[in-house]
Amino acid sequence: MFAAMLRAQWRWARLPIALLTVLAFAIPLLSVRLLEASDPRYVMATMQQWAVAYAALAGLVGLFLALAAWSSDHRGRHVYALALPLPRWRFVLNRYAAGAMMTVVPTLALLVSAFLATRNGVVPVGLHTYIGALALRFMLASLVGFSVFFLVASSSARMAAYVLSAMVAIVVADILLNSAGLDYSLTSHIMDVVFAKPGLLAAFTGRWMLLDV
Amino acid sequence: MSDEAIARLERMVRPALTGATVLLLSLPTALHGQASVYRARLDSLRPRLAAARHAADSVRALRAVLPTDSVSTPHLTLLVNPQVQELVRRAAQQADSDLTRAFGARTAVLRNTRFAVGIDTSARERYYGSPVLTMWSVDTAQHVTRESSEYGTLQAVSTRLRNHGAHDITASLDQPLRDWAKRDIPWSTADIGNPDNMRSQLVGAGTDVGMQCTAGSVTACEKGLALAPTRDRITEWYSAAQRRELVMRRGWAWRRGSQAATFDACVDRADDARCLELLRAHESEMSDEGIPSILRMSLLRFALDRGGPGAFDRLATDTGDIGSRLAAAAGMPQPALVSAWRDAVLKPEHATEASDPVVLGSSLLWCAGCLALALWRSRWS
Repeated sequence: MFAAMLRAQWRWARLPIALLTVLAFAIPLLSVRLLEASDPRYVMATMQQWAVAYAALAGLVGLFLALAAWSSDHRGRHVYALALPLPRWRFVLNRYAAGAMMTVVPTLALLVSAFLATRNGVVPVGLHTYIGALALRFMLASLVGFSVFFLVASSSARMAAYVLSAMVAIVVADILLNSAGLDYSLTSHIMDVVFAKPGLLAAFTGRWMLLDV
Repeated sequence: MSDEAIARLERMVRPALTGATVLLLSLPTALHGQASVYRARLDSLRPRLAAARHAADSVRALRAVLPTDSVSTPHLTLLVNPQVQELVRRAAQQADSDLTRAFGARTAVLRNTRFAVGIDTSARERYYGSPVLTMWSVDTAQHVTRESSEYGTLQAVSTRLRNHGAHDITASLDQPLRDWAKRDIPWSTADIGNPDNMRSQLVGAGTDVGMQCTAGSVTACEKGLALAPTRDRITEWYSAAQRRELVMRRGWAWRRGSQAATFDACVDRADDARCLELLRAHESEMSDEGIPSILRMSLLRFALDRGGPGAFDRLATDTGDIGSRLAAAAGMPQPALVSAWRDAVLKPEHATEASDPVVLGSSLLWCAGCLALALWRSRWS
């Protein structure tokens, strides 16, 4: 059952995943090939500029895999799933496992590309390569992105409305607090909690550096 | 009474009655004139009354925020606002203990300084309900030497007190040491900055001495840290390629008038002699640090930590050059000290943030949480 589901999900997701895999392969190579000087300061600054691309790509991988996992079921109003001799939890677990497994594809592309990009001795004195750590972080962030979007995509329209309403309520509360003259930002506190260690999206923040001190 | 008598009386009273009538008739006008005078006077007094009220309010507010009680620790004496007395007492105890550990007997100089902590009522911002405090350092001549604002939390106040203390202790040191340090001597290694930043500063120094130091040359480290003399920084600190890059970075600011041809020769043809010529012409605009001076603090703190108890006193009382003073503080020869410091700064364990176990573990837990929520739903959407 899992193999069949994996094949089906791969069919639905292969085009966007292929494109994202190409990007995952291109980013490390480009970040190193486009270096114009070997001054460590310049190299680190350039690597920092590319860091956003890695995090954004990981988020996109998660998003597309989650959408691919559920879009067909939503379109068919879950008739296919209901026709299967499976309890819902096993069906969802298979869908999740298949999607999570596919995060390996762009991660492998990134790993190989990072290795190729740094093998010709481009690393200035004092800097080190972090190929494995970068790939691990990329996979982790992809997995987190996939899990969050998977949860949202698997929910009903009502749940999505609740989530959206909560977000709007937070923004409105912030505006009201601000207009009441109180220097308290609910949004910034929530952002701190979400992005700081050990927050939900902490894997997306920090130094995504292929070459670092 | 006869008619004649009545008529006589009437003649006598009439002028009086007429006068009274005229007076009564003219009274409102007269009174109105007086009233406008009094009103004008009253109006002129109103701003004074408001000012007096405002002053009284200010005095009441000042009484509420100004420090009036005192807190004492072995080396620190503070005048504090009663509302934050307990907080400041605990912060002062922490700060005193840390400063004594960091600066040893030299901490005694803080007895010459009085600190004051008041509440800043003008600050709109609050930190999770804590008030914003104003902190002052006052010297023996009753001059305020430092003033700063701080959130009213234990950590913030104790850190600020430690920083004020480190500033005053640094100010008590001799001029050559202060000139070399360029900033307040940190009370702990953590106060200088995170290890990653120290590594970045050394690796990215942008000078040849910085690169050589990173690669393992202790002599280069000593030159870059101003522990060994440099006769010509342009040739000793920078390679030919770095000199060209320095000129390039200045761009059009240096490509002016008669220097245009020299600039072009340096940048376009990589003519080092021309680069040297330009750099010598602008030597005063160049950095006087072969390695960023923040790393001097890192070395100093490393030497003090290595030296253990009494290290700071040895540093402060030694009369040799800076290198020998650091060596005396650390209790080891200067080259060995610099080499050990370099190894500590470049230790690669600091840069493995990408596989931080906290991020790794928490992210996997969040994934499991999302999956559990997705599984938990009881019906199809």
